Parts: sequence; structure tokens; C-alpha cells
Amino acid sequence: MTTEVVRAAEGVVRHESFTVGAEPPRVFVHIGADPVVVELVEGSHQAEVHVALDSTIDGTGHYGRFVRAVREAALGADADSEEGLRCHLLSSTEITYSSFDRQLVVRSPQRGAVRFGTVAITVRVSAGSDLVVRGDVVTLDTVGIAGSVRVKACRGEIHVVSASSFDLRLRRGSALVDTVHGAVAADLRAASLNVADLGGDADVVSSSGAVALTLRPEGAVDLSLGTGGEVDLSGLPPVVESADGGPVWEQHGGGAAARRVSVTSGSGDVRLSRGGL
Amino acid sequence: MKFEAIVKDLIEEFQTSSSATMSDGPSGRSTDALVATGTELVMQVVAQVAESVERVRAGSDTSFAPGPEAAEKPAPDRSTSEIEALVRRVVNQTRGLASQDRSDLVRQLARPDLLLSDRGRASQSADTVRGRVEL
Repeated sequence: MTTEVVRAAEGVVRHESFTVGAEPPRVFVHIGADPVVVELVEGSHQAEVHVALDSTIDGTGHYGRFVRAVREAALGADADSEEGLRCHLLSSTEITYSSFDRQLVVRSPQRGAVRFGTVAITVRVSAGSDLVVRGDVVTLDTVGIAGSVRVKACRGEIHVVSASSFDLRLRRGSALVDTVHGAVAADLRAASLNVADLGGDADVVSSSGAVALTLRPEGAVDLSLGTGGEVDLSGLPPVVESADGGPVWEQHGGGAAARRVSVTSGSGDVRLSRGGL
Repeated sequence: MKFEAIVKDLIEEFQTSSSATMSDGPSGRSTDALVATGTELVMQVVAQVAESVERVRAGSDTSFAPGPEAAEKPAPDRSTSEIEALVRRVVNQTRGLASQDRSDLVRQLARPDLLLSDRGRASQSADTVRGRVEL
């Protein structure tokens, strides 16, 4: 099965805007393989969603005929025109805002196994908004300061500038987070994770994905690292290893003040370093 | 008590036990005590599931509010095998927990997603580092 992805020409776009007030809303984005950009703007009282046709997808051989049949069933007479596809995808993208639970929901229409087009989604909300993005293939780029960020995807390329906490479930791909002020939790499989400035705890599990964490230089950190790959602590001051291999935080009177960083990997390399050097 | 409430109790009990262990220091409750508590609660879960199955079979379970046509049909055998598989999985998970060291146990309890998927345990041959660093 092969697919051909053709970038769409510029054309009509869809734009929705909601007044959300001073308190940052929660943003939930559910996609198939659509690229998502989230811009977090200081002092904004609006939530805006911008949707444009990103690409058309066609198949070759038997799969191509199957995709065209599905497309004809969905679009009817407009199946062969890009404008027909654009109209279908933009109008069937679900964009809702509930002032009751302060949640903005964006769902792209092509979340199933068969896709014949993707839309480019741009969400603009106030800084500090919590963000949840899930999908098959997540290409996410956030700009600005977010609240908690949660991403769940089969594949993905993720870049988050700043978040209060970060929760990631990713099978393949990579994630780069510039700053996390709080905790990081991740289940990575083969995906890699790089956090350039980690201010809180970390609990990371991977199968073969590499993990790189740069720890903010604030106080003590208890480490619990295990991997079949390599552990690189060359960027850290000397580690005082626990005497019996047990958890360090129990040997230091509970260690309430120390951060905890736990990374367990099957074969991925683990690299920890100290920030601000 | 409903199934979800029992599972919640199980997790809370584990967390309470583990935090009590940390505050008590190394002489606190052991891994065996934690596992014993967990096992006891799992047994309650199993008993509850078995009781639910019996109720469904007897057609007296009103919590599902079956229609009149549902009451006439016998409970399908599929549910029994699914529950048996679930019970077997819970027992295996409990055995797995008992074989872990205490730090992994405590850490896994904080991540029920990993606990159920049987992930997040380093292999025996892994390159491990446990210690404290002052930044």
C-alpha cells in the first residue's frame, strides 16, 4: 500500500473565534494526521481556530481505487476536484467551545484508517492554557507558554516551547520540549525525548527510544536510571550512589525536597545533564 | 461496593502504604506487607466479580436494568471466559509485583497505565544508576 501526498494550493480557509475571558481555556485537539500549531498569546481573551486544506492524499494500485471509492462516497460529484475536497474537509472539521467547562474542542474529520486529505489547524489561545492533543500522526508545534500539555500519538514530531507539565505517549518519532517547569511523564516505545530545561520530576519509560534530560540546577535530584543502552551522566556533577541499590529518597529521611528523575528503557540511551552551564 | 471503587481503594491503599513506608524510614512496612495488602484487595475484586457474574446469571442484577427480552436470555459463556482471563491477568500482575524490588514497586503504583501494560521495568542486565546528585 502506497500513498501520494500532494500539498494543497492556497484557497478558502475557515476561521472561528470565541470570547473566552481572562481565564485560560482547556484545549482538546483530536486529529488523524493533520499538522497542528498552537499559539499561546499573553493577555488574549479570545480563542481562535484557523483551518486550511493542507494536503490531498491519493493511493496507488488497488489501494488507490479503494481510496477513490471512499472519497466518491463522501464527496459525490465533487470527488475529483480539490475545491470539493477543501469544502468537505473544512466544513466537517468540528470546532466547538463550551463556556460551561471552558473547553475548546477541535476534531479533524479524517481520523480513521482511510484518509484522502489533511487540514492544517492553527489554534490561538491565551497563555497558560492546558492542551491535549491526540491522533495517529501528530505534528505539533506550540509557541508561547502553555499550562499542562498532554500528547498521545502513534507517530509524531512534537515541539513544545514551554509547559507547566508534560505528559507524552508516543510510539515513534521525537519530542523536543524547551522548558518544563513541572513534571514530565512519558511512555515512548521507539520515540525519543529531549527536554532542554526540566524543573520538576521525571518518570520516563521507553523501549528503544533515547531520552535526554537537562536538569535545571536547583537543589538535589534523586536518580533512578536503568537501560540496556548507555547511561551518560558526563554533564552532571558526581552522583552519590545509594548503598544497597534501593531508592535514594528513602535513605535521606524521605527526601521531600529532592526532585526525582526515573528513566527506564529497554535499549535506549539515557543522557542527563545539568542546565545553565 | 462497585468494582471501580474497589480498584480505587486498591490504588489508594498502595499509595498510603508506600508513603507510610517512606515516612517510617527503612524499618517501615516491607514489600511483602505491601503485596499482602494488595493481594487481599485483589481477592476482594475477584470475589466481587464472581458475585456479579452470579447475579447476572441469575438474572437478578438490576444495576444493568435489562429489558424483558434480556431477562429471558441466558448469560453468554463469553463473559465468563473474559472474566477468567481478567482474573488470571490480575494474579499474574500481582506475582510480577511481588518479584520486583521496592523502589520499582512504589514507582509503578504511581503509574497505573504502566502497571497494566507490564512496562517500565528495567531488565536484569541493564545499566543502572541509583543515587543523588546536587545541582
